[in-house]
Amino acid sequence: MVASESAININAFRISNELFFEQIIPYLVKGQSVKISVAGNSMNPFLVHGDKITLMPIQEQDLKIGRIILAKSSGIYILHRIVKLSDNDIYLAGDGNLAQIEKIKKNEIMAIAYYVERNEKQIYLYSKGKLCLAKLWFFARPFRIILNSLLRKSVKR
Amino acid sequence: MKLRKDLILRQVGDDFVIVEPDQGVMDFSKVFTLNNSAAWLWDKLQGIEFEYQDIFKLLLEEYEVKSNQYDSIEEDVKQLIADFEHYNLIEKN
Repeated sequence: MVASESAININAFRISNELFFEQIIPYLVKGQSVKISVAGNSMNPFLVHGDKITLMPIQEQDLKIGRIILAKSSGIYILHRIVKLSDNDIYLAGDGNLAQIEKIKKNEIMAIAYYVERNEKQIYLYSKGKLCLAKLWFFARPFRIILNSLLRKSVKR
Repeated sequence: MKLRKDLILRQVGDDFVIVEPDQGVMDFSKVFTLNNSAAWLWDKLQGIEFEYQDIFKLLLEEYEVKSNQYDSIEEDVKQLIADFEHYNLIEKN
């Protein structure tokens, strides 16, 4: 036993994304839901670092524009929003990202998120208002790029 | 006392973690990490009714312990049980 440190800790779990999702996928495959903490800011401002989301197995009818899904794209797990659908491909974008769009196949989708838990409150992600805002936010990308570069310049000065 | 049987201990890389199902949802936003000896004990205590002395005995059997180390082991066991209780890992009657 180690006397100097506690034998049990909570939330001190830091592992690679890859290893983390390997733990989670089997539950989703079995049809179970899993709750995870959001890490990173690529879904800002709709999901922020530290939010908790519940991931559920995905059904065909969940494949709609605006839905936030977990997918494996070029070997990397991402939690991004569907911004465009075509016959064979699904296009995803992180709300917080300015230019990047990921193109994935249906079989690379792992799960969907319906609710986010923030400050102990459960919020539905796809209310009409939320979806509308998300759409506006996405189509505002060109302006956000300009705004972003202006902000950067002013910070440098 | 008895460990909660709905909790699942698993090894992830070099770490031992316990994941807690919350109303059918596996909650990976709140996981417990156990050090090697705690994980070993967790395994040993699985499904059995145990008391403080049982943990103490298990440790004496497994590790080479000198008699002057008894006190520190006692402390560890007390701390471990306190942790079990604090983190709500013990089955409630």
